[in-house]
Amino acid sequence: MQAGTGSGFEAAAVRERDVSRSVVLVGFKRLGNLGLGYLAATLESHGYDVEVIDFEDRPEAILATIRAADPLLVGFSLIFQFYIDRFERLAAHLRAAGIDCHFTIGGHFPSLSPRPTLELMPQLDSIVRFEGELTLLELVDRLSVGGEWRAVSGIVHREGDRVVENPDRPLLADLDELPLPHRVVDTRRILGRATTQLVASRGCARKCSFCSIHMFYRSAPGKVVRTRSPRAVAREMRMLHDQLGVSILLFQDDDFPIFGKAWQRWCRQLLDAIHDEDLVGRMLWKINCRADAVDRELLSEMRDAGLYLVYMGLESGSDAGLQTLHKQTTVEQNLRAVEILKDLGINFDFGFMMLDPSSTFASVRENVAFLQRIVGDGSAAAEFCRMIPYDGTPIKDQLAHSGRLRGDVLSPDYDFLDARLEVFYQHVNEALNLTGWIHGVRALSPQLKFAWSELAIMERLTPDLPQLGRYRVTLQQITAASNAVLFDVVRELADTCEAELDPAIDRDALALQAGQFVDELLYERNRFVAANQDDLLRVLEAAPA
Amino acid sequence: MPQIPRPVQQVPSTLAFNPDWVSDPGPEIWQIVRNLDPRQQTIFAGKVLDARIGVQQAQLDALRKVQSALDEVQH
Repeated sequence: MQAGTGSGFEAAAVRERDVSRSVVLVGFKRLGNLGLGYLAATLESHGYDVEVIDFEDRPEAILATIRAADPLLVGFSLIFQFYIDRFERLAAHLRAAGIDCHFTIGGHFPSLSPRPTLELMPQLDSIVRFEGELTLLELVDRLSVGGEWRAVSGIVHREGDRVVENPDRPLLADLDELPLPHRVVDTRRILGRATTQLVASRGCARKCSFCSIHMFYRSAPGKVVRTRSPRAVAREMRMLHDQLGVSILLFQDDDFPIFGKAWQRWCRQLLDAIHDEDLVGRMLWKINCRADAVDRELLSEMRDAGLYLVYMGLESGSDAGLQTLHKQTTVEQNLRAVEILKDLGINFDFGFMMLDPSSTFASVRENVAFLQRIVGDGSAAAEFCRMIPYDGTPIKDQLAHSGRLRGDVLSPDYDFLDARLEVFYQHVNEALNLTGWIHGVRALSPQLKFAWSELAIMERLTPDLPQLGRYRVTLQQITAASNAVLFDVVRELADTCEAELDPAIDRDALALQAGQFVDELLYERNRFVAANQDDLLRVLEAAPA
Repeated sequence: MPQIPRPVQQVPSTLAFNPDWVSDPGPEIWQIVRNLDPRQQTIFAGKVLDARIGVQQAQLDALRKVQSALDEVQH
């Protein structure tokens, strides 16, 4: 795909530049980081050499790479706001070592909170706000010829003690103008199959109160949700399959476009294109979407074209909670979406906030009852978290306005309406997070989720494996049993904390129990895979390398 | 559930169970510490560091043993 014809790219095509010096981008590479990939590809398609460095490399290694590159600009990509202190330490290290080129940063937090970002990272020369491809390109172009970079649209910079926010650059009107992203080699595999990520659209039409995505896309002028052409998406899928040997694709769209007639039409065009590219049976893919977008007929067609996993932000099992979060969905819609996916045999995963600023003990019990309804049968691992008031979200502003906002940028927090819920949250943390149930290295829930993904892949790509159905039943039994323990713990903690009693939860016993579930899971999983390894390896060898 | 961990069946490395890829970017353990209640953060961070020091100490001890074995062979 050529960078091309839109007004932003047209202007870029004729702009003066000197590409003799390179650009360095620093960010997390572990998950592939398509954001950095698009930035790098845009610069590369205009002649620049770009070095993408993993933020998790040692600072000395990052410094050595930057020294060797002698770049025009170092761009930092900040995914989560609570990493900003780590980025600041790296930037300070680089400056102290004599790196004096232009430092800029992009991402949700710098875009939505530019002034705090400049305060927290005094080493920065500028911030690239919102969609960064054209802004970064123009910034680099101007720096390359010694031009006036402070006039570039879409940046924030300092003038003396003053912070100057330049006019926002409009969002890209046509995503097909973007070059294909520079891909960081991604070695993550599932059952030996290479995985990678791609996007078919950008933006989200909704306005959830806890989410900064809509604020990110609505702050700059232009259409909020834009889709790539279905043919271009399918061609990229084919390229990933043929050239990189990828057979598992994770669509990273903010909200995969399947809600309403127009996007359903778009999605059906994509399915046609996937068929035309002969990818059915060769590639499986996952999407993120809303519960109210789950349409039985469309999802059935998507499943037949390779959809194997759907992640939904269900977020709450109480209508009051959904209203607080401004999800614009109902509990009934959440239940219906899960039911459809189960009926269609599509694996599902979900985001869920057990606690939010409107929580009460009654809503906690409602949430547990909801989780019991959807995954009490062991069809997925139960998981939940507490809502965090990130910068740039409406709910953070509401909490600040009501005097309930606590913490800081690195650790944003809030007061519950019922102070006993804070005690409850601490106990839940101790009981479930520190003992290896939900979050943590080698925690049970992520391992169960991975096992379910593997199973879904085997059911699609190697459906004739002996005892596959029996393995599903076993996995479902383990998941159901562990979910039941989790629900019991939350209910018991809610009861005791509401009564202001000391909970009688034995953390050591819970940790042991989590370990036993993991042992059981690994035993059953490896027993099944070992029994079928010849078939699995044979099919794998027939797939692209 | 079994009370004694069962032996894990060996599978080819290509088909190994590898759930790390679903984790968040960044060292997960510190992400978890950040998500904890501030009052628990220092306690848990201390435990993480103790565990890491323990692992490093064990590796150091093992390397010293290898080093002494090599020394014996050389002399």
